[in-house]
Amino acid sequence: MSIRVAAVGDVHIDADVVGRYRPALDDLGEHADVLLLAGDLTRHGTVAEAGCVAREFGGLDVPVIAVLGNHDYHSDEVPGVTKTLQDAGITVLEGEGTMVTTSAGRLGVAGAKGFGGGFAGRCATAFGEPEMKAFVEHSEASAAKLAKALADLECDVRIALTHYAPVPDTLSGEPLEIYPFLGSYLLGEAIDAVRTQLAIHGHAHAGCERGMTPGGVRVRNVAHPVIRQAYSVFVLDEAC
Amino acid sequence: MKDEYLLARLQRVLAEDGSELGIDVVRHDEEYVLTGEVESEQRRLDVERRVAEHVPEVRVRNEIRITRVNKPVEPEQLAPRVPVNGGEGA
Repeated sequence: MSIRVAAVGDVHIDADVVGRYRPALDDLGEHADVLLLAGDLTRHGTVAEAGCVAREFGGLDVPVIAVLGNHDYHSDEVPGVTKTLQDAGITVLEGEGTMVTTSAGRLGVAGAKGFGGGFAGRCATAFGEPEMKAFVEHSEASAAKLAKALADLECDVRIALTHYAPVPDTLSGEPLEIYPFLGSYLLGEAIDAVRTQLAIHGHAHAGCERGMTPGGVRVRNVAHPVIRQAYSVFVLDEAC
Repeated sequence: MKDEYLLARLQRVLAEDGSELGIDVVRHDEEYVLTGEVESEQRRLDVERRVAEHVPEVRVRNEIRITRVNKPVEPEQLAPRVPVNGGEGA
């Protein structure tokens, strides 16, 4: 028996996009046990746009689990955005985990937005100006929340869901100069700290699909411009 | 304004005013070529309009694509992995 995970990120929904995804989603339950949304669900992070996301991704025949992305924070309406999604039945994770019971076992998903900072040996450090310290401390805090959420899950298959990238592998195609704004090795370290089967992220529109953490966890960038389809499906063997 | 600064300004305008972060603007001879992907035809045209407003004297060629939303052709099968480091650490 296998667990089938559908995922997409960076859908950037507004009124002009409503209805585009729906034809591909209406029979999702035939192809997947759960749908993960890897952040940047809206364009500007308004409650009105979140309403459009709710119309597009709400009421599906599988559980929908999301993290928010940087776009979803842009208008400082995160509580309203989150509530609007939750009211549509979408689970929104930020430093938390959730469980989905499938016929193949218990799937645990831990989610956090994550943040930038860069990758091992080439990363920002909490030194100098307060703005720099705040940048790095936000990244550290997000990774710590993800680590705890992953560790707290008691499940058969464990997935990490973030918006920012946990490894540089899936950024290949992006300019090297912007890697520190696309992800952080601290997320990868959190994922490797417990037995995780899959890490899903978005954010890197010009990146590539596949990577791996130093600990061997498969990483998939599901940013919509990368996968170029309504969603990707990953089939996980329960014993993997 | 030198091209390098103008292109930098254009990309900031597209990101900060238009929320489009994945658009490349490159000058080829006498025109600016736009590439990247957006979610709708309206956004494709919005990007072109914003760029044209900033460089009215230069022709703009719009090669931005709209990202497809078809169902996946096939799932990716993730084979079971052998634990490394001899145990629980993934």
